[in-house]
Amino acid sequence: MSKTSALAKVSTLNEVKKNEDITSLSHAIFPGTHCPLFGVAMIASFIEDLVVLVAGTQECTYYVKNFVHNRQKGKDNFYSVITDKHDITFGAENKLREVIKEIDETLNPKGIMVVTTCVLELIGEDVEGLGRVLEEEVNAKILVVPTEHFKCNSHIPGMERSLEKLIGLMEKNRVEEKTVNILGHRQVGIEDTELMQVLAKAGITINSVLPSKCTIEKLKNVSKGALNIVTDFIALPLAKQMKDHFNTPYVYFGKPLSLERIKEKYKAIETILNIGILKQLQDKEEELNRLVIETKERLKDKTFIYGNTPMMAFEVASYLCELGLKPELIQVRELYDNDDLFMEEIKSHRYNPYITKIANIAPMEKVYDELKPNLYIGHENPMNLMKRNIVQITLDDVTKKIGYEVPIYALKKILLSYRQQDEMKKKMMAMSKGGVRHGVV
Amino acid sequence: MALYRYLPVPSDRMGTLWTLSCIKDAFIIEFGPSGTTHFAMEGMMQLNGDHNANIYTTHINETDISFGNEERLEKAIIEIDQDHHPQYIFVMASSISAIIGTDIKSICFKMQPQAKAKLIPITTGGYNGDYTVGVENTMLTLCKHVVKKEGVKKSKSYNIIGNTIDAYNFLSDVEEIKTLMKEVFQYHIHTTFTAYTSMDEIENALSGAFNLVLRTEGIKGAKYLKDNGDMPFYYGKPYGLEGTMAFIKGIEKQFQLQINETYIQNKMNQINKYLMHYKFVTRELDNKKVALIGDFDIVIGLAGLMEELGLEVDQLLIKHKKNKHTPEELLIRYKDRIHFNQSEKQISMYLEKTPLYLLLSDGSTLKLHNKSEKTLQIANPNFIKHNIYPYTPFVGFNGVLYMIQNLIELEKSIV
Repeated sequence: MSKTSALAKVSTLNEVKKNEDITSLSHAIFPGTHCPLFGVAMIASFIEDLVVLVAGTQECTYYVKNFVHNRQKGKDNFYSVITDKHDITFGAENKLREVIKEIDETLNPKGIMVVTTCVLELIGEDVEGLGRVLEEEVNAKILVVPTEHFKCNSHIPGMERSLEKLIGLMEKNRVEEKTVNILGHRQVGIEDTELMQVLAKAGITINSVLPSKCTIEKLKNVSKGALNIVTDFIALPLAKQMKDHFNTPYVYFGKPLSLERIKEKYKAIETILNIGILKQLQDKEEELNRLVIETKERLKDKTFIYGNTPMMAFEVASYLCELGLKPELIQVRELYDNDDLFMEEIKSHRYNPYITKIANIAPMEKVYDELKPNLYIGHENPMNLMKRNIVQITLDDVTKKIGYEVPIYALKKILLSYRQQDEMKKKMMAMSKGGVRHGVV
Repeated sequence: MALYRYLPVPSDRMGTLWTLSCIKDAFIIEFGPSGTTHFAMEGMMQLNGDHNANIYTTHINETDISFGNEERLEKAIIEIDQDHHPQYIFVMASSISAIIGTDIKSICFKMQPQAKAKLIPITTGGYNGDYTVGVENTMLTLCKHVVKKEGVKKSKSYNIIGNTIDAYNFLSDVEEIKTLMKEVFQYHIHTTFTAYTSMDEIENALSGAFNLVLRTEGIKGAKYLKDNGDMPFYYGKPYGLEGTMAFIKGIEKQFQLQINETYIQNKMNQINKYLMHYKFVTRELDNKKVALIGDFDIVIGLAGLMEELGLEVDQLLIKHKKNKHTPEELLIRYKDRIHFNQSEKQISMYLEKTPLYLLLSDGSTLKLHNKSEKTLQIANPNFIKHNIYPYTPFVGFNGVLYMIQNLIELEKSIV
C-alpha cells in the first residue's frame, strides 16, 4: 500500500505495536477527544441521589452542567465550585471544605462525588486527602474522582473511575441466588435487551444496573448479586474490585459481533448461574446467519473507513473483514486489552489499513479523496461524505443492545444505509435525466 | 460564594472564544487539553449561534507541562499556515497553559517569521474576569490587529460593534436594527462585529461611515477606531418606544442624518395602540413589580420598556461586573435598584423573598425557586430556547410590539 501525502506520517496496522505508534493525522486537531470530566458526566448523572460537585474553572463547570442538565432533562444533581486565581496560588482546600460542608448541611445527601478537573490536579491539590478527612465531619460519603485530561487522551478514564468509586457506597451482603448485576450499561430500558429477556425467562432477576438504574440506597445492596455481567469495558475495574471485595464473579459481555464470541459469553453465564438460555436464542442465531449471508453478498470487497462507534474499533473492523469488506483506515482512541487479537485477525485477511487517532475529522476530507472508501462508520458531517458518495453508518443505538441483537442491529443498519444511498443515487440520476414524476411509483 | 446549582458566570476565555467563533475564515488554535476545546464547541450550541470559525486544539500532555514543551503549538501553527493559508491565526492559551506560564506572545513573535499569516496572541486563560471582559478585549483586538488603517468610504453604510453570539437575542435584534437604519435613515450595514461576519469584512471596517455600539463591551474597540481610524461611534441599544426614539434622535444628531418621519409616525401609531391595550389589561393588578436579571444592556434597556408599560421595576440584577466604560447617566435612574456581579446565591435569596408579577431573566435564573407570577427569558445562559427565526426582536419598534405580544400572552396564561 503506497502512502499518500495526507497519510504520509501515519502508521499502518503492521507498524502499530504500542500506543505511541498511533499518531494523529495533523498537529492541529479538530474537534479532539472529550475529557474525563465528560466521562464522569455520562456515568454519575444517572445516579439519582448522588450529588456531584465539580471543582474547576468556569469553563469546565459550565459546559459539564449544561451537558448533564440537557441529558437528564433537568433532573441532574451536578453542582459547581469555581476555582479562581487565588485558589491556584494559595490552594483551594478551605473553599472546597466550606462548599462540601454546605452541601452536606443543606441537601443532606448520602453521597457526594467530588470531581477535580485539570487545574486542581495541576497544582497538586490533595482533594483525595481532604475527602478522607471530611468523611469524619460530614454525613455524606465522599468519593473523589480526578479528571485531568493531560494524563490521558479521552473521556474513558472518567467513566472508569466514577464507576469504580461506587464501591465506596456498597456494603457486604448475603448473595441471593439467581440474581445478576449489570455493570456499565449506560442506557435506560435494560429490560428490553435480549440478554435480560432470556435471563428473565430462565428465572433470573436483576439485582442492580450500574449506572443507569441506580440510587445510593440500591448501591448498598449490589453485593447481593450472584454474578456481575459487565456490558461495557469501562466497568471492568469496578467488576475486579467487586471480585476482590465481595468475591462476586463476573463475565465481560461487551459488544461482540461474531456469533461464536456471543455464544461463548452466553455459555459462561449459563455455567455460572447453572441455567439454560442458549436454546431460547436459536431464532436469533438464524436471523444473524441470514443477515451475514446477505451482507457478504451485498458488500463483498467494499472498502470502509472506521470512524467511531460505541464498540471497540479493531473488533468491529475485524468483523467487517470477516464479512468480506476491506478496511482502508481505522481511527482508534488507544490500544486496549484484546486489541492484539483483533489486529491479528485483520492481518490474517492480508489487510494493512492506516491507523490514526480518533476525533480529528478536519484533515479527513483529503483522506476521503485519496482512499475513496465506499463506507464510513461513525460520526462526520454527512455532507462531506454524501458529496463523495460515501455511505455513512452510525451505530449509536447499539449501546442499548446486548447479545445477538448487537450484530443483528449493526448489519441491518449497514444494509439499510447502503440501500438508502443507492436509492438516493438512482433518484438523483433520474433527476439529471429530466426529473421524476410525482406520484409515480 | 463559589457554589452554583446551575451555571456559573462564564469566564473571559469563554467570552473570547464566543466572540471569535462566529467569524468566517477565522482560524484559532488553542494550546491545551483537547477536551477544553471540544466541550467549548459543543457548549456553544446553547447560545443558538453558528460557529463559523475554524477552531483547533493541540492537546497537551504531562511531558509538555513538565518540560514546558511548546512544540505541539509551533507545529500546529505551521501546519495551519501551510495547509489553509489564512490571513490571521489567533493563538489562544487555555487554563492549563496560562497556569504553567506558556508565553503565547513570545511564541507568536518567534513563529511569525515562519508563518505567512499574521499571528495574533490571545493570552487569557480564563482568570482575568468574566465573559464580558473576553468579549470586550476580543473586539478591541480585532479593531487593533485586523481592521486595516485606511478604507475607501462606502456612502450610507455603518458598522455594528457588539452583536455577538453570547447575547440571547442577537440574531433577531440585529435584523431589527438593520431594518430601523434602512427605513429611518436609508443606511445599510457594512461590517458586524462579530455575528456573522468574515475576517475580510472586519479588515475593511473603516469603509463604513460610523460605528453603532450595541453593548458596553464594544465601546473600547469603537474608541480605538475613533482615535486611530477617525471613525465616530454612537453607543446605545433601542429598547422600548422611548429608547428607540432616543436611539434614532441620537444618531440623527450625532451624524447629522435625515429622518424618515412617515415611517416613524406609522410605527408609533401602531405601537401606542398596543401600549394602551397592555396598560388596560394590567390596570387592576395589585402587584406590578418586575425584576430584570441578565446582561447589562438588555436589563437596563428593557427596564425602560417595563416602565412605559406601567409596570414597576423592583430590581435590576446584572450577572457580570460593571464595565468601566458604562456611561454613568445610564445608571442614575436605577441607582438604588441596580446591582452588578450578582451570584446565584444572592439572586436566589432575592427571588425567594420577593413576590413579583414578572421576572425577566436568563434561562439559568428561571430554574431557581421564585415567587413570580409570570416569567420570560430575555438572556443567556439558556437551557431550552432555540432561537433560529431571526424576526423576533427585543429592540426597535418591532421589538416593542414583540415584547407586548409576549406579555399579553403571559397575562392571559394560567400558571
